Formats: sequence, structure tokens, C-alpha cells
Amino acid sequence: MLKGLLQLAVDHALKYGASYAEARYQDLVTEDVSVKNGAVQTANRGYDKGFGVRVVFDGAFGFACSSVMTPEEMRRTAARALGIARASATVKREPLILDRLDAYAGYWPSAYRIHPFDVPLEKKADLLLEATEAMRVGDEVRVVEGFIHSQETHKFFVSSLGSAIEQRKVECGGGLSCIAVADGDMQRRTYPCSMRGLHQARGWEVIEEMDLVKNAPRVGAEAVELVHAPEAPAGEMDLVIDGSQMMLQIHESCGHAVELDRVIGQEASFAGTSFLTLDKRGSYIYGSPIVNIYADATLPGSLGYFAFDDEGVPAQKFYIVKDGVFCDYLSTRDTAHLHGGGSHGACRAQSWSDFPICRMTSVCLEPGDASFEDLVGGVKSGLFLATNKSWSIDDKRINFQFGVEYAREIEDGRLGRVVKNAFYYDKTPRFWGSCDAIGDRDQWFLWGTPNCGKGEPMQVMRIGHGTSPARFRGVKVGVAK
Amino acid sequence: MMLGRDRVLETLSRAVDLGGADGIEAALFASDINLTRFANSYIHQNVSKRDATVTVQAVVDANRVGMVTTNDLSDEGLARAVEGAAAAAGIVPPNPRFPGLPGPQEYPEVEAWVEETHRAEAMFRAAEVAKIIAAGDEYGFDASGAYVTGGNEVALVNSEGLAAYHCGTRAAINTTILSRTSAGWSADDSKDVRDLDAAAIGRRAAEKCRDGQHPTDLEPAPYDIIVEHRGVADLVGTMGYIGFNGLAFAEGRSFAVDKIGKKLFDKKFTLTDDAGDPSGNPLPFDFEGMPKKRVPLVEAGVLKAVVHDRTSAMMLGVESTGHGLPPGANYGAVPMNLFMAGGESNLEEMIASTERGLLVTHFHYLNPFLDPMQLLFTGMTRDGTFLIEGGKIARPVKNLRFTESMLRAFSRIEALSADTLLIAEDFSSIRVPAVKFKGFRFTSATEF
Repeated sequence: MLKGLLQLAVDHALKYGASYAEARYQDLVTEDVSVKNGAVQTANRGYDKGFGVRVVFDGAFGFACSSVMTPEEMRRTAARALGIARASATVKREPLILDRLDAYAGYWPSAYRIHPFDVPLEKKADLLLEATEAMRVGDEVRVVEGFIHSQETHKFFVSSLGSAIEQRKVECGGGLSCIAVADGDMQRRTYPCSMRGLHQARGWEVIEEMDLVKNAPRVGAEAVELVHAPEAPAGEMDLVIDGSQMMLQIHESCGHAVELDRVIGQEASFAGTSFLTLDKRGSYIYGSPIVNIYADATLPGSLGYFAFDDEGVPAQKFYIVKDGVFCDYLSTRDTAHLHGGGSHGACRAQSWSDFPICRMTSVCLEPGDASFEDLVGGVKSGLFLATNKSWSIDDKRINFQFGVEYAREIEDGRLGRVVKNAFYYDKTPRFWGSCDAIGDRDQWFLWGTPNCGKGEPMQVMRIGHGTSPARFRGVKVGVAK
Repeated sequence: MMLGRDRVLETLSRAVDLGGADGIEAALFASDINLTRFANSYIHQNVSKRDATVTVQAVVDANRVGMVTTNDLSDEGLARAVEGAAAAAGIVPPNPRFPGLPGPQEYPEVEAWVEETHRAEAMFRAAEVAKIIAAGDEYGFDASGAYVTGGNEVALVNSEGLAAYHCGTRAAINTTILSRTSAGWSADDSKDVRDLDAAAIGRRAAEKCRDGQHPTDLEPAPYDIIVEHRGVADLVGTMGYIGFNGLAFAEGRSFAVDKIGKKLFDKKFTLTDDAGDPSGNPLPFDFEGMPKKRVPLVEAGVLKAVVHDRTSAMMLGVESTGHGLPPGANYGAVPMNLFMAGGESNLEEMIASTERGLLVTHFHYLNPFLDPMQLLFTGMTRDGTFLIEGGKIARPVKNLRFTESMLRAFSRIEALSADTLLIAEDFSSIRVPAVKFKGFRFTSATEF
């Protein structure tokens, strides 16, 4: 039924002159439960479905979409996409080059143990109410919040190459947030991470493994501790950075920098470009020799997991940085000819209504061999930094500045007192070049950010990042306010 | 393709009339966005994006609330949404902070729809994009950017008798023109596509790119800076959503706590939120259906107020100012139609009065979460940063990062331009002058 409808759009586009056409259906069901200060604030189900048609005419792209799933609308939408592609073709330099691709057909569901929609709404609300109340450990605690997000995505992709790809993906995540207020200051502490909680492409087991109720008192206590804590120092020092911050460090300074559309200027007017220009591939020293970063869309459980991307390219794993040397890009069919060897399968769309663009899948730092005690023990004077609080990076991904929720001084290899408002800044290659120890496999964890924005119209993507804590030498911390 | 007032209100009424709870509210958001994107001086993405969603809130026992959002506007789709919302409301515990559904309201007449904008087609946008590219070609530079035209609709109907509908159009161009060593940026937007002059926008960006070639290093330090209008909008818009939020104020986590009525800023700083001002992007009601009120936020440097939705208003025992976000946002109220008063100067005078300082085109990747109580922001300059020496533009410089408290920056305003520029988004806008700040703190530099 679905395949037949989508095929109508593809056939219609081909009939009227398209050299390539694809139709992509997406049905997204979401559920959000949130509580705040002892009350259920959100109990929301979302249903969103429709299809998009992308065509190539005279060497240029056009895209149109609709939420009405009828044969007539399929043809009408294909015609709109074709008309738009005709307009694109009037302002082009070279014809689009779409990398060669085989046809694929089949059904690929993601794995989960407990479907999150099978867990009753009231159980989710009760869990969050219990966990949030357990964060109230002092009079300073002003706001306690908890949230759980669940979703199931059903996709069907049909292309003029002959592909017919059906995929289902279940995702679940959530977290806690505690705000303490005292002495004219406000500090927030979150768990497990700040970027709208921890999310993975698994089921309710993600929430069970977080053990929100057990962790809640510690989160509350840390918020209270922070609001009374001294300001973090400023200066140049060694850092041990927890995975809850490393995930965003990888995301901003590596993941975005290797998106090939940025590199060739396709995002220049909005998200920016990249310092990792084409001439640097295979030779540029990105980091120290122990730094190995890879992209992996085949990683089960990750937000970046899939069997095929949104233009029908199989999921892949490949190195971005190997032994400190920058070696490859995230790419799509229209940019793959720039590196050869086929698209790296990183073409993703937020929704049926969005044009698929180059996105991160799961960008991960390989674990090293240091225990946490080794990481901290190797610092004479420095800081341990955890959980992202603020983030900013220039439009070529060189100069970055990150703030963290929670920091502790390190003196003579031992964790010391808690300090607040810590932030650090550096330039990407110098920073990664100063990495001299990476946490071992036992500390490696699969984080995920569900809200990465890119593109015009803006698209929000869900991306995975696996990492251990790591140590960096001589990084600038803080500035006078 | 928009739905139109009658069909929208009929659709929402159909949902509300299904009943099944003590109270039902249905809100619709529809958009028809047509966007042509170009880079390396050709069109590389070109889309037509249409969708309409209905969010149904069902209320049981006064404050138990369930919600369903759907883009299936069929009878079956709406019935599923209403039933689902009512079922959820029957399960969840009460929310004492839920202010109830509002009754009927009266709204001013607002004209924000321009048919020519909605009808603009891909061929028209392509021809206009070609003019921008031609401006770059004159210097051998590459052009990138986006040209968007479209319309949107927002409406609410509830079982208490409230019915609200608004539609508006928007046309916007932004372009970054790139040389090997520089970038120049320009943009413009309007509800009327006929107001946009693509060739002029391209020319401005190309000239900025030309003037910015071969930038040199500059030591990060406090500098007097002149920020062009769009850079000011970056700062003020961010202050608006992080600082003047009634919920943050009620929860004690806003810079404004215990500061209302105090002089926090330079006397030249006056900031007002006014969705009724026709020189902005008018909006008659907020996303809770409450009429938009004019709210002076800062007058002559004195903090006057923050904005409220129905939740923060109830918490503080005041009235909503009509600044609520859509159901489920849970962020609190946001001033969405900001006006910063201008002064008596202009860019040329500000440059001429600067012995040593910087001219900033706009900012990139602003982040306000370092220390919200101090409005401590960080961000990068972008697309044209110039050193001023002896009252003249001396040379282009590489981009710099600032880390600065906006409480401090806006207490050190030296001059404001008399002219103000409107920057409009779909349901929001900000009108600002260019501003000269004394001693704005730059804390690091980058390599381009």
C-alpha cells in the first residue's frame, strides 16, 4: 500500500522529466511526560505523518511534501517538486553529481526490550514525581523537574533506482533537573546530562537503567553545593573532562567540522563552514596520536543508528580521525564525488517535510586505557569538568568556549572542592593536540543529543556520541567578568 | 496553500465539540514555507514545506490536563486527538499551576497578510537569487544564502467560548558573500515581498566582503564597539527570552528578581514589547489566546517589568501580558515584539567619534547560559569585523569572541543611531538601532 503510493510519486516525476526521484514517508509518534515542582506539567502524545518527494531535473534538486496520503496528492506533490527543480536549474553552475548507488529492499526494525508506549502514562508520571521530590534536599532548591520522551518512527523510502526500504526505530530518554537559588545566585544541576536528558534508540530500559530515584538526592545536593560554591578560577590549566561534557566537545569541534556540505560552503550563510578543508584530508594533524574518532551509524542503541540513511545509502562505520590524523568526512550522495568511494551515508532529514541534508550519525571517541584515577592522578593543578551548561563555537569550528554545570578543583592528583561557573576555551586542533589520556572502555558511555539544529528551514536532528572522560593539558579556563 | 479563517475555525470547533472532558481547547499552527537556498553561487536546495498541526488540550477536574498533537485533520484524526487527550487527563495527577482555559477575548484588528508574498513562486525567487549572485560575481566572490517566502496561520478555539485566528506572511533574504579571506553579510525581511531589493542586499554583502579581505590579528581586549543593527538584535533578542521571562522571575532565577524599579542600564536604553505597533510584525494574541499588551520593559535604564503568560501571572497574582508560548512549551513567557528606542547618532558619526574601537556586523553562536543572573553572554563576531582608529575604519580584523555581561554592556551605551531596523520572524519581530558600547569585553580570537 505505502510502497505503491510512494511509487506513484516517483513514476510521475520520471514521466515528466526527472532524471532521479525519491519519495520518503515518515510516521512519527511521540509521547512526552514532564513534571515540575510536584505537578504533572505535560502529558502529550504527538502524531505526525506525511511524505516528501525529492527530484533531480536538469541537474538540480527540487523538493515538495504533503501530509495528505492519496494517489492524486502523490502526483501533485511530485509535480510541485519538479517545478521547483526547474527553477533551481535556472541558477546552477555544474550539474548535480549524485554518487552511484545500488538498489535495496527490505524491512529493518531497531531493537528494544520494553516498548516505551507499553509503559502506562501514570507509571511514568509517578516515577518522575518520586524522583523530582527526592531532589528537594535543602531550602535552596527552588525548581525540580523531570521528563521522559518516547518515540517510534516508521519510514518507507522508494527511489527511481529501485529501492524500497522500510525502517522502524524506537527511542526513549529523559532526565532530571534541579535549580537551587541563594544569595542572588542560581545554579542548575541535571542528570544524566543537560541536553534535554539522555536519549538512546532503545526502549523503556533506558529509563530503568538511569535509576532516577536513586540518583535524585545526589543531583539535588550538588545543586545546593554549587549555589554556595566559590567561582571557578581563571588561567591556563589541565582539565579532566567528563563524558557528559566530552559528548558536546566532540559534537561541536569534530562532528560538525567534518560535515562535507559545510566544508564546501553549502551552509556558509547560516551554520558556517569548516576549517577542515578538502586539502587536509589524510594529512592534517587534528589531535594527539591517541585521538581516534569515528562515525558509526551501525551502532545499536545510538540516536544516530539506522540501516539506511534518508537517501537509501547503507549505514556505515568509518574513522574521522585516526591516530590523531584527520582522515574522512560525513558525506551524502551529492558530495561523495569529492572524496571518492561512495557516500558515507550521512544524509538525514528531521521529518517527511524536510529536505535531507548532511548530518552526524553517531560520532564517537574511542576509549583509551586510563582509569578515572589515572586521569585525575596525572594532574598537579587543574579542574574536573562535568555536564555541559553553555556552548559556542565560531563558524569554522576553530575557536570554542564551553561552560559546565559542575566542576571540582584537582590538586596533586586528587579531586578537591566544588567550584561554579567554570568555562574553558581553546582552538580545536590545539585542544585535541593536548589530549594525553583517554578513559578506558569501562568509562565509555553512549550519550545522545536530541536537539542539534542545522539547515534552512531549521531541522533538528537526534545524534549519538560515545565517549569516555579524557584529559587535556594547558587549556584556558574562565575570564574576568 | 493556507487553510483560511473559516476552515481553520470550523476544524477547531469540530474538535472542541467532540467533548469528552470538562474543558477542551484546540490550537492550530499551519505554515506554507517556500525556501530557495544557494551556495557557491548556485541553487543547491529548494523546498516547499507545508504542514498544519492541531494540539488538543483536555481538562478534567479543573486542573488535570492531557494533550495530543496531530497533523491528521480528518474527522478520524481529530477524534483520536480529543479522545487521547481526554484519556490522558483522566489519568494524570492534578497540576495546581494550570490556570484553566481562558474565556472569550477581544482582539485588535491586525493586518499582516500580503497575498503577493504568499504567491511568490520558485521561479521568482530563483530570478532574485540570480541578482545576488551577480553582485558577488562583480568581484569574483561566491554567494550563498536563502530566500524564503511564505505564510502561516495560528488559531485557538475552546469550550469556554474563546475563538482566535491570525495569519501573516513573511519574505526574507539573507546572504553571505565569500572571498578567499573574508565574508560579507546582509539581510532584509518584510511581510511584503515587494519591499525586498535582492540586488541591493547582494551589493551590500559583496562590498562588505570586499572591504573585509585579508583581515589581520587583533589582541582580544575590551574595545569600544559599534554594533550594526542586526548585531544589536542578536543581543537584545537573546536578552528578551532569557531575561524578561515571567516564569524565571517567579521562580527566582531571573536577573530581574528584586530589581524592578531600579536603574540597571544606561539612561539611553529603553526597551518595549509591543505587538500592536504596526511598524513591527503585529500579532493580536499570544499562543494561549490572550490579547497582546504593550509592556515597557526598560525605560531610560530603569527596569520596569517582565512579561507573563497565564501561568506566571497566576503564580504572582498579576494579569497575563499576552506573552504565552504554545501549549506544552513550558518555558514561560517571552517578549516577541521588541522595540529598542533609537537615539540621535548614525553609524558614520559613531565611527568618527571612536579613537580606537571595532565595527561589528553581527554575531555568531550567541550563548546566554554561562550565568543567567548576570546576563553573561558569549559569542563570536562574524562576516565583517573592522578596526577603527582615529575616527576611521583602519583595517579588517579576524573574528573575536566576547564574554560579557549584558547588564554591564547596556549600562555603557555611548550612542544610538536615530534609524532603527526591523528584523521579523514568523510571529515575532525586533526593531533596534545601531549601538556604540564602551569597553565591550573580547576574550579570545580566532584564525579568520
